[in-house]
Amino acid sequence: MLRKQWIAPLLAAPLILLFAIFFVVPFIEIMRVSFSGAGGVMAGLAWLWTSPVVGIVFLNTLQLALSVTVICLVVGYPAACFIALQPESRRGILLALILLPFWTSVLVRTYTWSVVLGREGILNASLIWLGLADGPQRFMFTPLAVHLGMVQILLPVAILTLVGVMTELDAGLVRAARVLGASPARAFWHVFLPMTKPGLVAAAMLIFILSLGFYITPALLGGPRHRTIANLIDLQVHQMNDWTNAAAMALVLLATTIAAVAVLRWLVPDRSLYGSAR
Amino acid sequence: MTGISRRDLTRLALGGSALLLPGVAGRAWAQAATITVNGSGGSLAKSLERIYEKPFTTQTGIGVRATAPVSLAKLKAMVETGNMEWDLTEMGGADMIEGVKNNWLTEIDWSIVDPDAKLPAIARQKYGMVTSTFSTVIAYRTDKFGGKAPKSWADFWDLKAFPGPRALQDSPVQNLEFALLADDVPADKLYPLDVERAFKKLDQIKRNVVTWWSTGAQQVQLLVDGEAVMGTVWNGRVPPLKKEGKPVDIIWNGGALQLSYWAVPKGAKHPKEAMRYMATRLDPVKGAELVKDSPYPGFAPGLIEKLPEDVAKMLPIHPDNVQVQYTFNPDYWSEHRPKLSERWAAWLLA
Amino acid sequence: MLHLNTDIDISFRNAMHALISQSQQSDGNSGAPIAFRGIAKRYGEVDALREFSLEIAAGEFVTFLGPSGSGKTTALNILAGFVEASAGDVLIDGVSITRLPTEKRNVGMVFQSYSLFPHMDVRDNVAFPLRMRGVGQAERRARAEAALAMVRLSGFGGRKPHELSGGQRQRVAFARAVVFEPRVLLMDEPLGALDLKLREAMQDEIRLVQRRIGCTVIYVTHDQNEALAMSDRIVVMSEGRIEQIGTPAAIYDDPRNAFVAQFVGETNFLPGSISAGRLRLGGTNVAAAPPMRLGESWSGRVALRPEHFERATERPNGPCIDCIITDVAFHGGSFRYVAEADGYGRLVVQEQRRPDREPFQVGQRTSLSFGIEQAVFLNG
Repeated sequence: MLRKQWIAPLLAAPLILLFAIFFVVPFIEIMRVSFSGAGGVMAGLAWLWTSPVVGIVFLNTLQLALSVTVICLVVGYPAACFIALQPESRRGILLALILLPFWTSVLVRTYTWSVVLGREGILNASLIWLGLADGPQRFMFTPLAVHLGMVQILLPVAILTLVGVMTELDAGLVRAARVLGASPARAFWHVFLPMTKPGLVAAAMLIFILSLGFYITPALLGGPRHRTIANLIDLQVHQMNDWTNAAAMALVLLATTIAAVAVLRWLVPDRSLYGSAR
Repeated sequence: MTGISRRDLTRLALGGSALLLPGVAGRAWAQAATITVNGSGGSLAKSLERIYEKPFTTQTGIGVRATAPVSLAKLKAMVETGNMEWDLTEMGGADMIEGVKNNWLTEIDWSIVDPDAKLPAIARQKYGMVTSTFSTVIAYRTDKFGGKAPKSWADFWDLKAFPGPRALQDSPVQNLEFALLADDVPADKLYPLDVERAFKKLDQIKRNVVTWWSTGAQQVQLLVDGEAVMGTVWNGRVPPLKKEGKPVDIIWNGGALQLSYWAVPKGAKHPKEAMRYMATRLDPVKGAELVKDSPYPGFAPGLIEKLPEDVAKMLPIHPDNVQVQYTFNPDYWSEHRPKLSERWAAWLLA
Repeated sequence: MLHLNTDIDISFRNAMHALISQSQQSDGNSGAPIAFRGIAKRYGEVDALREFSLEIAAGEFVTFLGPSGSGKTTALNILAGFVEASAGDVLIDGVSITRLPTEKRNVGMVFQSYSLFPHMDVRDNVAFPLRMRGVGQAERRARAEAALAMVRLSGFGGRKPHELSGGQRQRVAFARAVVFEPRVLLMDEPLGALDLKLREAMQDEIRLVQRRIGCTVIYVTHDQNEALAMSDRIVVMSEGRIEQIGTPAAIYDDPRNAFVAQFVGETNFLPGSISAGRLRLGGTNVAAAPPMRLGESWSGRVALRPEHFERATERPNGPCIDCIITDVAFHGGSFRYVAEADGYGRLVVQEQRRPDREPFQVGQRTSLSFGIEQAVFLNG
């Protein structure tokens, strides 16, 4: 028994060590340095409270993360279904294709959107050629551009997570539902969809948290309303040299992330998130 | 050629023998004194090595080690721990003010760097020498206004005569100055800024600014892609595009002339050698060579005359250009930036 | 009945129906007949099922028995609608269902892995088929409770499947499959995941409930004991073909070929031949008259069940085989011996335990006999 108790922590030790060395220690150090100046933590937090900007940017960031998450799930779910239904060999190829964009930098992929969405881009050229628009429409620096850019980057996360859950799913359950009287649509609604809920929650969690920290894409494709908390932190560090404010904001971002995880964990209890019983 | 001393002759002789015995003598000299020069690195580092560093070592026997990047935080840390690695470092205008304010720099001995006072006064400062200049200027698409060309910030604001989307940096710095210039404030009366007036003027154009850029790469991309027909850029980004035949040009009128410096940090191990190396920047021939790779020249006397007219005209220090730009005041911004940035961000979101 | 109008007739039938479902009783005739007509299924080059034809009577309990890959599950899946047949037709109650989607075939099914919906509690699982059929919530609940009571799981309705034992889950799956009173119930190795004791108990229970509901059952298993114990008829299958159809006794006593003899029960094969009307086993003439139908000359194998052997001393008239006992195993009511016989090879023998005789010992030489009428003569 004693041995069994020790094995799990031992296996996790390298991860915990890495996490401690490369995250916890630097994080504490940054916080210590940032808050050692005049006023300390309170000065940073006071700034968060009094600044006319932080609150708005914070809400904008949450809203952006939320809408990107919803779009990723809505678009990714059918795609994941399609992939999960393929024979295993083809599934591997499709997943590799889904992963392919990961080999290209986010920066490049973000810039590429300007080729498509720009005033002289492919989309505008097509619209004008088809006679659907009189002149160039504005797509860049709009909500559309930011969402396209972010969804394109985060969609693979949704698809991979969902495919993982869907292929683990007991196909017999859908058959059982069918033979017991459920049409394909009802079998999907009553059995398949609820069974993939853990995948949906996990994907939502990942995408939401990643979205909260997005920085390059909103800055390049969005307008001022799409500036995120991360952009604000960057501004404080690189242009204002104000580490106290930056650290205070980083703390709030971290707290938000933890809160988001907590809410989702509360929505979907532990057991069904990390493995379902037959 | 008149001022060659005996010591210099000895060095030359020794340098020559070092050339004959590169493996032995070269290394021996290098060990005797090597200065560490901190810069921005990147592709420019190679040019610097070829034009300045190698010849300097050959001539004086003093080795030059280049490091990067430029970082005020690192300078602060090294001064405070007394472990100064650099003998010479590049400094931006705002950093320079911080450096002087905090007493992190060594006073320049101008009798070593520029004994004959050939540099203009603007380049000779107590704690630093201007090594390069750049300017934030208006760039515009030459093909979008039917042959007309904008000439000033007033034109930038004139959406009737020059219609189309604009692009500006996401920062109050310089944009407030530009707005005031557009509102007919004379360049020498800009500071202290009339902030209210500047924001009011910015209100007029806000809706037509299609994006507020935040990186250097973005500024020209926006123009080349046609997202904006007019915007602000750093002057050095445009000549390569013109060379490629892209329909873009810049307006020097109302540009923000900014300086960057070489300074010797407090506690540098070889301040004298570093200052001797600084002196190499006075050579106009080398300066002209460097301008080919980087259009951000210093004030080397006679540099403009060494360059072809079309190249010289694209430099911030060309007399014609100096006349029409305003000199950016980092002092003002060092003091007011936090408050104005806050206001700027709120203004953008409103 | 002639003077009754149609409305009254229908209401009478409805009342009867309600009565039947309330009491969980039936007259045993509510099952539907099933017919497989020339079903074939090919997967590329492989024949999973060929020329599969079978008539099943209403209310009959038929078992498809065979090793894995014999086609038994394929036949079941074609009936359920999970697999489309390459050729042939399936009829329930005389109506072809080949073109009906799975959910319209109205059959109950129990799976080897139970396939209970993990996100629903037991009651919702059992009520699922009723919900799919548009039954109202109150009735759904009542009928689900009744079905759970039938499998002795009253009071478990609020639990989640993962909170139940294997046997309990199996019973929930069974309740779910019969709650909507299907006329056909399919069971795909439903007891495969249970241990022996539980399996035997469940066999009895399934038979009991099936007799009460009266539905037609097709039961798939590779366990011959299960097949023999539960079925009205057994369909023995191998390599996509039907080897034999018959009652358990007929299959056991009169296997049509070596495969059936070997797969159902334990069998000793002795090489045999007939020449000039005399039977030889393993090269030795045997003092017994072979069956007349084989004629004057024959060669093949003679199959004998372990319990067909007796001590030569107790059956003096039968054919006699000398052998040496090499292994003895105690089976409670009986002994199982392994014997090495000259010219016949290895024999498995089963003998009832009796107080009036000593069991054989390992190494003991003895003489065994059997009744020729119990032997099965197999060609080839």
